[in-house]
Amino acid sequence: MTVTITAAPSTVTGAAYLEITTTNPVVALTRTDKNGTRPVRLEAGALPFTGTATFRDYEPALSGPVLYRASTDYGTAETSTTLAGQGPRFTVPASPLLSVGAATVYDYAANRKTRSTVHEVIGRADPIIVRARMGTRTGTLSIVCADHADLMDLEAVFALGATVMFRQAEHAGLDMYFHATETAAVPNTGKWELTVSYVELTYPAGPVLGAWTFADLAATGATFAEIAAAYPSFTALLLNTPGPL
Amino acid sequence: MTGAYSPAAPDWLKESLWHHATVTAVLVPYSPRVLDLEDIRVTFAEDWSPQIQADMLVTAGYDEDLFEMLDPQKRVKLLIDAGYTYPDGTTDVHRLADLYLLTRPIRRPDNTMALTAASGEAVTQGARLDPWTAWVPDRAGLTEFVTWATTYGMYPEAPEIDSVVGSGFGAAALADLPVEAGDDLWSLISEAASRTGAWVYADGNKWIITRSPTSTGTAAYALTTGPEGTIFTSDSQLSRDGFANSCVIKYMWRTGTTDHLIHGYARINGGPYAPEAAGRMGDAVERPGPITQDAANQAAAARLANLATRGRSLLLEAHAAYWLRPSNTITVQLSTGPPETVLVRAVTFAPLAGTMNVTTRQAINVPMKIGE
Repeated sequence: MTVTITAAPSTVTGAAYLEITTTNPVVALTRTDKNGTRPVRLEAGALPFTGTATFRDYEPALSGPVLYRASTDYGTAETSTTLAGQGPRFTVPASPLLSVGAATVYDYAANRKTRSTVHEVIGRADPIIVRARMGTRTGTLSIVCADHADLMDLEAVFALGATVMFRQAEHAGLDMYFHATETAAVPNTGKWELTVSYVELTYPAGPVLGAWTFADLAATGATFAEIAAAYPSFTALLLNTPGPL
Repeated sequence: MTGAYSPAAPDWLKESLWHHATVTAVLVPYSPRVLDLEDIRVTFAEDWSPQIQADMLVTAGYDEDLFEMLDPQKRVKLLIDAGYTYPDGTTDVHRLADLYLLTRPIRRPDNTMALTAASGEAVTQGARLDPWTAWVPDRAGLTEFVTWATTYGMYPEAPEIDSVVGSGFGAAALADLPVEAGDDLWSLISEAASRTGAWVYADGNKWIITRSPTSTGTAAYALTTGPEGTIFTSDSQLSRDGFANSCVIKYMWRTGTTDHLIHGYARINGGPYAPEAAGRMGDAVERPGPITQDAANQAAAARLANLATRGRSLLLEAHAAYWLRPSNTITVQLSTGPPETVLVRAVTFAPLAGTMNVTTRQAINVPMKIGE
């Protein structure tokens, strides 16, 4: 055996921590869970590698077994874990720092609309359909937050305009990648509630964005005060998204 | 008569189908790019030049390579394919049009590009004869003249010529055709076609020289209403608009200090649409000379033959038959009246909705008096 893999769940980040040791280059790392089989999203250039490396996978399903497979040209290693017992979670796959667990998601509603065109023919009872596939889900869901600060953390997940992943443990097939087209915040009986209008997207390809270093940061401003003024929050600083909001 | 499409296509069109449309942008040295279509309409019209014109709405992301490639100042080709997937699972997709990109606005915040494109006439409309290079128009016949003009106008591409009139056709009518530095090549081709009574148009860089039909031929498609029908809307028009029973073409030119003026003339002679019965409905245009009286009259007759067929037209919206083109014959059965056999004057395809809008003209052969 030239390759070994271990996986451990984290209840804090909703991620699986992977450790791989190999003597042959690992060329593929995949995850199989109830949402299907996908490559584990890594930073660009992470594969292939030899030696020992640790990765975090921020997209495993929150119920059922999650199987990881590391492949080399000379053999594969598999391990499985589970992230069961966690609440719903919203994560930006490309910037997994933006990942917020939610106590309660409710009022979920989904519409799917056809892209077909229905044509009515003169003097004919049945229509002619120019067929097309049905669109992906669109709709709204509401998220309960303990206080306004939590609500703002949640809004920050949607604010970038990046693809967001919604994961939850209760309903098979409900997990999705989506784009938030609108968010609405209202206070509700001592808590706060964020209603998100979404459009479901397909699995987004692309690596985890990262590699924003202290050297880069030092180049953006001469003093600490300048940097503090440019970035509204520590999260914004980590993601390198300067600006008022 | 279904062109490249399956001979069974007219039967499949009576049912619900999947339609496909793709636009591929081609420009050397870039690799071809398939555009993300939000909407597209392609119009073929026999009385338009360029004969094929397309409008499309394309998603504009932040792909600078694509923006740089889609530069109408370079000669970007847009290849449009359209077709069907039939209920038996076979896919029947073919080239609908081969066009040149004309405009490319990028609109923010809509994030769209509203592209317009047209067939090869648009390129020759922009090409002008250069006073410094030696060029000699080939007047041996219409086919030879169009070959010369398109070779100059489509440079550096070599045109493909598809002529049904043969070599030497119309040589006499072309002898006087004025050709000067600064002329755009399409106006020369168009004037040559008018003097010889022919019809010249381009499909991409393929130039078709033919005669505009005034009588019907084998039907390319049968459109009906009712249980087996495919007509969504119909608008049957009778109008004096566009119709004419006489035609004057005025040619004016000057040689030295002498002004020349020749009127080419033709009219419908007899029958219910002649001026004696229906009143005077004249059409007049001006064209550049020099020309002989006989050639001017022939040009007027060729123009009138088309105008006389335009009094009665049908505007139909139907399930798209992508092989239909202007001058094709179709049969139309509306909810009332007998079936009609008519000619296609214009057709607009909207492949995303799977519809086409057809404008027809009547097929009539009117007795004509040419000249005095």
